[in-house]
Amino acid sequence: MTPPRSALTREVTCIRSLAWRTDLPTAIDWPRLGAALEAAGLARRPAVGAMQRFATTGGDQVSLIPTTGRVQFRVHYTVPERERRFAAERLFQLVVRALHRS
Amino acid sequence: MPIEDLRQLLAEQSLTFLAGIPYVYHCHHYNLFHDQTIDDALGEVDGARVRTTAAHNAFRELLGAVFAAAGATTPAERISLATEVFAWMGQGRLSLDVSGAGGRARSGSLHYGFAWREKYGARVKRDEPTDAVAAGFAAATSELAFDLAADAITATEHRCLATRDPECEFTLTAGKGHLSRPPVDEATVRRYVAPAIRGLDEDRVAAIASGLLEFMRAVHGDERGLVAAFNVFVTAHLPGYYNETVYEAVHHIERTAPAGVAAVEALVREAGQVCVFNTFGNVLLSPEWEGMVGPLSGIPTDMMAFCTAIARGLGFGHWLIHEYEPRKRLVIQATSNYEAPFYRTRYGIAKKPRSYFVQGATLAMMLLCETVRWTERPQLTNAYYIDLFRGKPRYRVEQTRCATRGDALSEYVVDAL
Repeated sequence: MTPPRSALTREVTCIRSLAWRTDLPTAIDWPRLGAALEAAGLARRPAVGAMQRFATTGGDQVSLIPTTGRVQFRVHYTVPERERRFAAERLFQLVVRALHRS
Repeated sequence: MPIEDLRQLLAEQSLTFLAGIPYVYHCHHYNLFHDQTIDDALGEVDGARVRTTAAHNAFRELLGAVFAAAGATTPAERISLATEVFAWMGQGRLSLDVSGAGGRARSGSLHYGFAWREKYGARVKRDEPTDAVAAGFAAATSELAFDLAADAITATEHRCLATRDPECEFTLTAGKGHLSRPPVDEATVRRYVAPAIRGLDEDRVAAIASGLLEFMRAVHGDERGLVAAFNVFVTAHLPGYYNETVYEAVHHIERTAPAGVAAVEALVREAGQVCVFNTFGNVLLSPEWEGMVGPLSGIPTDMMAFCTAIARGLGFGHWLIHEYEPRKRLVIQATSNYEAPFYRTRYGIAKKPRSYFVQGATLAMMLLCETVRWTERPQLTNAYYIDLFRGKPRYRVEQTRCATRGDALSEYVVDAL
């Protein structure tokens, strides 16, 4: 799959810098992306409706909504505020690499 | 017995119970604002006292029921179960080192202290601890663990995350005494609900509310006893706490400073606005919502149905849309809410409408549905809140029927000015 050009932006949220997002085309192969995230070490969590959820061992979460293309990166609240952006960028890179692999 | 097995749902009224005691979901924005409102009305010292006493009463009621349901009889069993329940609720994880004469408690992760530090810590210096709820919980747990009377133990927080201490710490000592109150349990609540009726867009509201209730059933505290969901910190909380603090504060002002009643009523009404703006708003903008319901259209009738469903999904009762004419008029009815059973049980029939929380909430629903550009990913900031709610008033709310006053159901009318 050719990874689309996507940007990481701050998500609408009330907890400072915890939630970030990117938007992917709805046409990408979402099941393969999910499988690639699992192969990268993320654990699949129970889905919420159309939303697929994955978690790192540190408690960070990646949520995929194939129907709209929204991807949310939720950094764990114990990560200090100054480090949250970098944690979100690492999650974003994980998704980009998974897109390359899938 | 797993804590999950102690939950009950009165589905037709969208009311939730734990071991027969009502609970609802509120986020940290509401919780912090609610407590600040009580302190604004009563002053910091009396505010903290009323909040701690209310939490003490509410958790005695809950924990007494939980221990009976789970068959917990020894002090160790009861203390362990109580701390697990507290963490399950998203209130934090508290370590108790207590005997029948008192003791100590501490935590590095209490909902109020942690959320206060997260929300305000970078720009506000606070001198007073925030965790009256945990203090009341600690006192109630200690009393019930050792089969002591309701007035036997008091807890005081003397270190707090919100005052930049590394942990919250409490001292538990012999109590100064307060009266035991009649419980507000499921049987009591059932006496003050009207048969559920259908509102506008009922099928959609009911379907979404049902999905939300199901989602919330899986929500519980993590290893630190906190819940981060919908981009906020969430708690399962006790209406007894919210109600006792609000009504004690309002009644105190009525007794001592009648000229200030309108101001304190406006304050407690505003807490309902804060809930809808922050909790409902963050739910609507969350990926969880998008996954369950779909992207937001921003159409006012859609948004009103969604807000009504969220109220039900959080266990606030059977709210329904009786009339809705966008930009002109909204009539919300409730055959049940979490304020009326408490008020009627504790104080009897009110002389005027007393459902302050829903009054503020319905006004906020009208504003959010009419004004916010939901499809443009609005930032629900404090500045936006002030712009929406503290500028030139666009709507007014009047409660025309109230279960606290003896009416069969409660009704809230929002009109354009």
